Amino acid sequence: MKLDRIAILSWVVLIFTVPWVFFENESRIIGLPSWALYAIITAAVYSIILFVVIEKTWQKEETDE
Amino acid sequence: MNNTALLSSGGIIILCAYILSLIGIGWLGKKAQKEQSLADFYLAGRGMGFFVLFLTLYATQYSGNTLVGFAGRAYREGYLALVLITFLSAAVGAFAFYGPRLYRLSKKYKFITPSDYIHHRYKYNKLTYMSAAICLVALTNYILTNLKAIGFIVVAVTGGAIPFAYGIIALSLVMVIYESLGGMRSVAWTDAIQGTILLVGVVTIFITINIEYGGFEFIYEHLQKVDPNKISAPTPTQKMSWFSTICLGFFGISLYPHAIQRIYSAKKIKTLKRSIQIMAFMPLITVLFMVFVGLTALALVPGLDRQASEGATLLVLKQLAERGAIGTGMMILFLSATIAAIMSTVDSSLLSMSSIVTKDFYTRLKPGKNQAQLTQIGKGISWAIMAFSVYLAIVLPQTIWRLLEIKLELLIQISPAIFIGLYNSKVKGKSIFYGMLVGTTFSLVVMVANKLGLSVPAKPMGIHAGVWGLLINSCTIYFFEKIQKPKE
Repeated sequence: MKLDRIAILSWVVLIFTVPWVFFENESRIIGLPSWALYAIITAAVYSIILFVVIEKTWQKEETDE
Repeated sequence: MNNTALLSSGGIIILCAYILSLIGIGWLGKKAQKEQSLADFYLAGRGMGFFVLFLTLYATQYSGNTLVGFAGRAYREGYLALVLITFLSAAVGAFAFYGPRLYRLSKKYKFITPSDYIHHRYKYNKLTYMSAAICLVALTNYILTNLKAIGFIVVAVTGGAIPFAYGIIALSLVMVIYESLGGMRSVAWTDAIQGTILLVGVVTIFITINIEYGGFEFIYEHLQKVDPNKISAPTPTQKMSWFSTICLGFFGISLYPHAIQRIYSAKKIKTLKRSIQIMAFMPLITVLFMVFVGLTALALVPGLDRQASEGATLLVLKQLAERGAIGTGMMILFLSATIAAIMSTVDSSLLSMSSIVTKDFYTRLKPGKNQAQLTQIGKGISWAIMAFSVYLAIVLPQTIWRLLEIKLELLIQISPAIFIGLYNSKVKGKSIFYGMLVGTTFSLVVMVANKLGLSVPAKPMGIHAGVWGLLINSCTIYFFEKIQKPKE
């Protein structure tokens, strides 16, 4: 994966971490407002994606070293 | 907050013993010193292994503001404070993007400070000095706000037996002693201990609150009764502000000079990779837990004003102690974690400021000194910076403190120099300089006007002044690149 793609992927996911589509506090899931749960889950997804992206892209740097 | 001490005299003695033991770590750092050079003093000889690198990155990124300020913000804003998780994750995202390339260049060209890279890439002195000056101002503000937090915590821990000013002086003295003994090595080793205490402290308080009160269900039910606005979904302006906060994290937090210097300090790219991969998950453990603490404080004691809400964490601790849920041991653990978080941030910032003054200003303006002389000068500068910071932290009037909140809005203006510089070899230093100048001026004017009470919003349309400044900064770079092209 190239670095420009990482930047695009990173920002696409970051934009999705904002709870854009929630307008009212419609429901509660495991003690959290649904939009708050969405924010936590997307933050966790971002962390996982970062982990994978670093694993994939930095490998080349390691072999170059 | 009343004047009851959070710890008994026995607890205070244990806490003092822990703080003084950090000087011993500093001495060990001095013993491990390999040579009298700037790279050895400021970057631990570029040989930091995974364990220490990860913990120093963690302890440095999570300051006293995380433990005290984030809980206070959650108290005031409710679930909206969850943005702070992504705010810090975004910084790790930026490391992922620029980390490997900057690391390799730093190894090859022996960079010590962030401005070393900027000078290497653009060879434009005005830009080098301006970026170094911005770093210095941001770090000064960072140190001053953290020193002030230390003073308040010492007063809270001792019930005022140790006054605010003495608390700041004593802890600053400890920090500057271990820092000047072994430089980055001492700072990173103390950070490793402080980072561990911080992590254990945060996880422990989260688990204890869950067991004692009942977790998110408890918070939701109480907030629905006492302050339902705090559970409402964000308004369109708040969503823009959410996004803007993420931008500040990505382009601002990631560029704190002490964070960049930790990238330079890594022994191998693999070490750096593993550390940053784990850092990606730390906001979920640390920030989420502290937001949870702030929300619990809100559910338990609603109606506090802004200043009182800053003590949300200590409030929850006191409540837990009164219920018998935590004993002295856990209280010491959490207070140690809070002090550790602040100290690890201040010592790293101090070291970074000392390196910037020594390398970016002194060495360039007065060349000819050898590495051993520069290291000694750097140590002297650390003492001078700390003495001046302590003086300011004690005497600055409240009106000036509001201006010290301006940090990331300034630092974010350096980001084009790093991000564009690393991935575009054609952009010239002059364009970056004027972009930085215009962006910084805009951000400063808006922020200062707002802080001084003029009718200028700090976040026009929900977007931080610094992010608007970055946009203007980038447009200026584009404009200057366009008008310079015909001359070629």
